[in-house]
Amino acid sequence: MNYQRIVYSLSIILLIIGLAMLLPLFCSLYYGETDSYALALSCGVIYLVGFLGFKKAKTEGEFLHKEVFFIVTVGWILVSIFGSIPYLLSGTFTSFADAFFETMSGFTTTGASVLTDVEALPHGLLLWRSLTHWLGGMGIIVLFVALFPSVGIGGMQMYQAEAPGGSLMKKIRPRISEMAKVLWSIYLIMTIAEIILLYIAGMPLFDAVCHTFGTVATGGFSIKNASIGYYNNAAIEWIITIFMFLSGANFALYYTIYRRKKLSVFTHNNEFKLYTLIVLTAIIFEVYSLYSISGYSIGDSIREAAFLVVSIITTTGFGTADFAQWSFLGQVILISLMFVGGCTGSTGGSIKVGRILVLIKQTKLELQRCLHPRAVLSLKIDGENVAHQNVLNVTVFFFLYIGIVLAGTILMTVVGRDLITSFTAAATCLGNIGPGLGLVGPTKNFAFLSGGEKYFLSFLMLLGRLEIYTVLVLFLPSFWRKG
Amino acid sequence: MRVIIIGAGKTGFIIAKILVEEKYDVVVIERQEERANTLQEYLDVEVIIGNGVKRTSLEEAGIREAGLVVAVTESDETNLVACMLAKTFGQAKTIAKVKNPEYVLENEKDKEMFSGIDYMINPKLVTAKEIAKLIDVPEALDVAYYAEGKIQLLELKIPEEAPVANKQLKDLKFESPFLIAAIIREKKLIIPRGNDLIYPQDIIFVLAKTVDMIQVESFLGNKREKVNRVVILGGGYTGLQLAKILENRKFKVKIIDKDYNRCVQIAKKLDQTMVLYGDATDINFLNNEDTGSADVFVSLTDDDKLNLLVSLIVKNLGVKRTIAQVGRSDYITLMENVGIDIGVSPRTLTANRILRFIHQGNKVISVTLLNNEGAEMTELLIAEDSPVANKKLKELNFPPGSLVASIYRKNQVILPKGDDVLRPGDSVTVFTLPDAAAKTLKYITG
Repeated sequence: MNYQRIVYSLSIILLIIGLAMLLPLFCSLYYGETDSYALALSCGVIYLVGFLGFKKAKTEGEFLHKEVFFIVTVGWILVSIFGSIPYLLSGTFTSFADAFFETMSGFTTTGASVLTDVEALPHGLLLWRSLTHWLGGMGIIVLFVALFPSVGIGGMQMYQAEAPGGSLMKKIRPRISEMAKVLWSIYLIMTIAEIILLYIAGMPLFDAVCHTFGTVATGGFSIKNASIGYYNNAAIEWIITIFMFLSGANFALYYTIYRRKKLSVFTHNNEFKLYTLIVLTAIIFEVYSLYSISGYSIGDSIREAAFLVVSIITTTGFGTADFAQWSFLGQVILISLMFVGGCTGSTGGSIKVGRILVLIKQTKLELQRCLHPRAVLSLKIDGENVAHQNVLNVTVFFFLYIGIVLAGTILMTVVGRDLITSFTAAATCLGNIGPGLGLVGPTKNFAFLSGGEKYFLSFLMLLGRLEIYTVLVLFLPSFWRKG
Repeated sequence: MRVIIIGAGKTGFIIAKILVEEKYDVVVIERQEERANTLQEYLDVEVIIGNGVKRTSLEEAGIREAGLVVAVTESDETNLVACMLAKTFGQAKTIAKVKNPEYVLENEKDKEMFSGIDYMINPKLVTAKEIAKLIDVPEALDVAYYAEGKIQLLELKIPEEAPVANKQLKDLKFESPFLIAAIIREKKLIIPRGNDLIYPQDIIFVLAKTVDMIQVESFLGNKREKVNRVVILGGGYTGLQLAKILENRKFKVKIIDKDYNRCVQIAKKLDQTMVLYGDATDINFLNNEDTGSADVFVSLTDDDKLNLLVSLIVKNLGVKRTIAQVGRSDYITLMENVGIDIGVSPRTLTANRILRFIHQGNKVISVTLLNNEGAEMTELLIAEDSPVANKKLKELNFPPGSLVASIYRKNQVILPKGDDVLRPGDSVTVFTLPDAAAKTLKYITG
């Protein structure tokens, strides 16, 4: 591996984060609050380290495969380390484990928090916390590739190593840097649209910005202890529901619609259709559970069911209600949705609807093969052939995903946690969702966990966000061997 | 008009034969001396031994006066180059037979690919489309459509127990109008009159409105079977295209090929069709796939013997109808005699399609060759200045061996009687025996 190139790229990524931190800094100066010195100092540290690396290291030649995986994984860890400096300097957290967990949870758009009282935080830090969502949602590497097209062919590999859906994601522009720009533009437009709508619906501007960052990134950090439930406003809930749903769909679809000027793009996309179908079915189940079992009014049932179903399936994790109090049916539907996630090319986490679609179709083919052993079968999505290699990639991904949730559950129970807490904590962190059940339920938080558990769950978040392979490959002994 | 045909293979031969009958001046350029001699023996054409891609050969054939060049050699490249070269001499229209699907887009109308070629024809695509038509009306030996699809012509066999058997034509009364344009009996083609009888085993050409045809068929003793399951042998380009057409029409299609790589390739291109990798002469394999319960079995390999053998095997297993591609069209009758329901020759189909293109334009809408002997169904437009316009049919003297079969006027289909009048703007279908075609055309167009 060429460490010069790696240090150079990592420095740039760090500088991008440092630049982004100026926004909360100005915000805190505007409000004249105590956190401005912490943010300013953090910026200083990041610039110092960034410029040092930028100046000392040289960029030359093409990236090797190894380097790509290394840069993406280490880049994410690095931004989470440096991103946690403001929390530490301002005294929000005294332990590094807490600050790191909170930042990783932000960048990976998990939205699990170790803060017991969010509302006590000054505006600057609140904005930084939500901004980590927004940056991580579309992807730090995608931003890097968009801003620095000079990474060349390595850009595509880096993009794939970070993009949700990995190999299932198709190129919508011939150049990867252009594609990254297109995706970020769509993201920006959606962000502005939601801020305006929330503001009109009666949310203060600062709250609207923070919650929009949490929505379009499918993150889930709120600036209120009661999350979205704080506002108790149907219009706000529906706006957020719709934007969560849109952020859980493939962003490339919006571009295709813009290009072709036809809404039928949605109905021709099997993944989007399945996504809609799952959401609607889950809502029906939840409405039934809330209305007949828990005795809510029909209006409240629909509103709460829609909000939470979309919130969980898109892996956002915003809350309006404490679903730990819901019926078992209601809870188990939500837990199942944790294993679905958004579409490929969305900001959502978890397994992804596209992979579920491949698994369903392949299941059908395998059954057919039993009846027709001589049949030559080929899996197609939207009329296009899916290569065997990709099918295999998806099946193994599913195995790894389930395997890691189980391993995570076991490890948590080793240190004495109960089954529900352990299982949902592992699932919610790997899926980048946020709330779980039991001790990590929607009204609770992750503060009580030990430092070791926090690092472990942070690792699961990273695994989930980078879709397992990118991180896991670093553990291959041959990755580090020479030749 | 002078027509230059490049290549004296089967396709070239059929085209030359028909065009000679229609009084065209035909010049054939053929490279092989032996083939050239055979052609000269059978047809009244000028044959030049030479190469269609050489300027001198084309000039010798009279390219400067020619109105049409048809390139139908076995080589795509020769055909393409010959046509492009011919175009440089002047006004001749050009038609090229192109087998490689990569040269011809799947949309036949796409002529823009090579400048200088007016019409490209892909024999495999033509075959696939023709077989798809046959599968729509599986009991028919042949199907053709006129008047924008509103009129259907079927070639049917009269079954032994048909209620109409042994009756006079004038006694056949049915609520929906229909016309029996011709009967093939003991290999002879006749245009029947009212007092002629219909016998079992007769092959008839019946014309009716497409919407009425099902009833007409059952009146004539042919029940239309509902076709749902089709098995295709041979995953070549023809098989692939046929499967695509059929799966779009919601048929349940299976396609068998013994080349695994080819199977993988076509499986990627087909959506609903099941691609099976196996040997179709293996009865165990056929049974496992329940081939016997298929409604139609189509064999499309390049090997006539294999097509015949497999067709007979599956017929034995219980398949209702078998359609086989036959490379040598002279075997069609033989194959149909031993139990294959329909034999299809890509070369004959290609010739038909080219002839249709040649006839198009000067008032003729389409021409269909009805059997191997050369009976034709011509669809044409009645012009203002046509000698037959505004006259009652019974007042007209159509040449012997011809019959006005239908009139299509302002979305109305008329099966004419003697009192009906031909009006300018009508499109009519005219049935003709081989030697009457040219005379009839002249009689109508003046």
